[in-house]
Amino acid sequence: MKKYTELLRRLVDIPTVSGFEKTAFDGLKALLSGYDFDSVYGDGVGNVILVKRAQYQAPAIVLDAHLDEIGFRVSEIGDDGFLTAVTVGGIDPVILASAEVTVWGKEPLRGVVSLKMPEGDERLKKIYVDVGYPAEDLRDLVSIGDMVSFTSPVTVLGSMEDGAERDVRELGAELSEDVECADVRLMGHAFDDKALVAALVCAVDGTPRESLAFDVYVVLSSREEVGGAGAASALGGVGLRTSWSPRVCEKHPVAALVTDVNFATAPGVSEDESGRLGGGPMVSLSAVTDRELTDMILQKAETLSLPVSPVVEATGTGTNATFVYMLGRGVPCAVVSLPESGMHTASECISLKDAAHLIRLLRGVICDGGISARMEQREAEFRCMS
Amino acid sequence: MHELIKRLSEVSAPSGGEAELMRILKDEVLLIRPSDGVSIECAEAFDGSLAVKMSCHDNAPDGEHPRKLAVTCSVDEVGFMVKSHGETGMLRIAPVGIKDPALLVGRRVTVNGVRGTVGAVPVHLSKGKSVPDMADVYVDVGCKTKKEAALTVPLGSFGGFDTRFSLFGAENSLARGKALSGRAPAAVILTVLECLARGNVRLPYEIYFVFIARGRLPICASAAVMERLGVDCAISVGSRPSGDTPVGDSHCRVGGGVCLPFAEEKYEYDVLLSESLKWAAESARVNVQRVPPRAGLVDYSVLRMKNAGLRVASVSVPVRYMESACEVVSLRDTESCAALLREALNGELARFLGGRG
Repeated sequence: MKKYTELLRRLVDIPTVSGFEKTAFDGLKALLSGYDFDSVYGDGVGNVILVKRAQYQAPAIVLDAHLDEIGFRVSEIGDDGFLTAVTVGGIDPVILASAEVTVWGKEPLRGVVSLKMPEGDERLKKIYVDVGYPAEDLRDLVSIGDMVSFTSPVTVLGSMEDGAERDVRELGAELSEDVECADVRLMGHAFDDKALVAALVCAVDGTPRESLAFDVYVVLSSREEVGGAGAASALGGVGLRTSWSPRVCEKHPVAALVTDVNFATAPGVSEDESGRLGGGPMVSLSAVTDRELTDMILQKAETLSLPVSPVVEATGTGTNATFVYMLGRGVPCAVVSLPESGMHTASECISLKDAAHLIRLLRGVICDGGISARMEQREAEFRCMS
Repeated sequence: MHELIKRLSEVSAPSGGEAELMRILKDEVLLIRPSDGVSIECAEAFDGSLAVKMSCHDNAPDGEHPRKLAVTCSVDEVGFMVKSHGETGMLRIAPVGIKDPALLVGRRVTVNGVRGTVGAVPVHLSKGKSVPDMADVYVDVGCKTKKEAALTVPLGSFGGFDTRFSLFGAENSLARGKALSGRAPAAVILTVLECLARGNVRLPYEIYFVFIARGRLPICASAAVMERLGVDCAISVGSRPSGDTPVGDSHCRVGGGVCLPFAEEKYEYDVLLSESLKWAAESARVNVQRVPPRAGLVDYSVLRMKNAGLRVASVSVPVRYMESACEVVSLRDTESCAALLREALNGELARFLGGRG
């Protein structure tokens, strides 16, 4: 899991507040080009697509994780040196008072959120960011519309040893790739959904081409936190030849796995709507997802002796799975997730053990010839009619 | 037709759990023996929908592609999924399309083929709380322990109302049962398909009869299916809540004829296609109710964005108590809908769609 923790740490350091994914593309491409993929490219709305083809003729599968994170945008530069900001994505104002943030202007500026907490039925009025500069200097450094992200590096959750926190880089060095790891908890911001981005990249990177039963398209989609426009457009592109993107594969994907974080069991979060941290990845049972594909994934987990927590999400998974059906030419999809506590706060927590099991499960699925054959058969049966 | 509606109504098929119903629909289609020159193919779509393609060999004599018309209906029903098993064998559930938990309390249900009932706190003990929350509701399938419940009804199992179909009213002209809002339109489509396939028809277009799965969910599955089939226009055969009860508004009434809406709340149906249906109604001498717009299914607005603008029109059967344990339709309205559609597909639409795509 050394590669995983290192990749997660570096992904979290690249700010990708919804809408700003494209500006981060160069940094992301440089980071992801070090992994074993045939190509890495971006599209017009900020999606990043990584392709790894099987050695032999194989159908296409899409693995989706969203790249964007919640954050803010600068809406005003006050004469008093305070910035006014608006939220991007679902942020509960309760968590904002005195939150540590970074303003990404001409250079990154550290700041603190300043606001008056609403009382009773009062609505939150304004969010201010204190960066400690006088207004005249600030106008040279920051522009309206600049991105603001939480500041919360990846840290190991747990006891301090000898008065110092365990550095995640040290942790990464302790863990070898394939050994079942202890239930170490990591804490940081933007684990939703970079924890899954890192898992997808590591799962596919570590799989040799001769083992793949699919041509794998890893879609790191944009704007999920603000409505999912990125996934919709990416899935319209994968599988269709378009005149502006000749590198897009002509094959229509036969399956899609949408990955995201899900609720970890905690006080106030009931067991039947969540998964236990350390209890393994969660697989959604839903009217929205494809039951046959979901059952094959559960069967795979059982074959590999991996712990998984099925969770019922009857009519909505809150993920990009909705767009798989709604737009494009439609693909059967399943949703696999990591339990996470503190969702949409600056201190989201995941279990490294769950991430390790998820990576093994994903590898199992993309290398399973039976799943590949069955999904291809279903696609072929319908293709004959249309 | 009421025997067919009965067979379809008594199958449990909540959104996402339509596999058995699709199998029955496919069996019904395969029983049809088409006449010479007509071919029927069946295929399951990627989302569980069933598409039936009917071609007449007169379609494209000069090798060009004939127009493609889809006739669709959503066949799923409201229901629930098993969310967890209680220590005493009771099931906690998550609704699929059921907006009001009160519709469930005290009802007979089936879950994964097992009969049960829905319970909540008895009225004597409810402390004045008249409407339960979904968290207060449970399903009892007769299991005594958590383990027994998990073996009998696994997590994620689909369940729905268990209502027997029956005829009632003057001259047994009304039908009551569950899921009639989806199954009556499905019966209409099967009836029309059989009539066209067995008749000596030569239509200048291909027809896809599509039984849509998960139509009640906001995922627009039918939009992707329409795109995959490459259809030029679509007629949706559906149902419409009637207002002819003491507590309803009176936009349409059961027994008043087929509903032909010209628009829904945020979009309009294709004018020429809708007018063709109106003329077909006159030719077939069926009663029609022109109804005002209402908040419609998301599917329709998305459908119009597919294939560079899909032309859509709609015919509906009025239904009382829609999405409840016991819906009511008029057999005459259902038969009128079939007659209208038959006339439209064989007459008006043939003239309307006679050109090549």
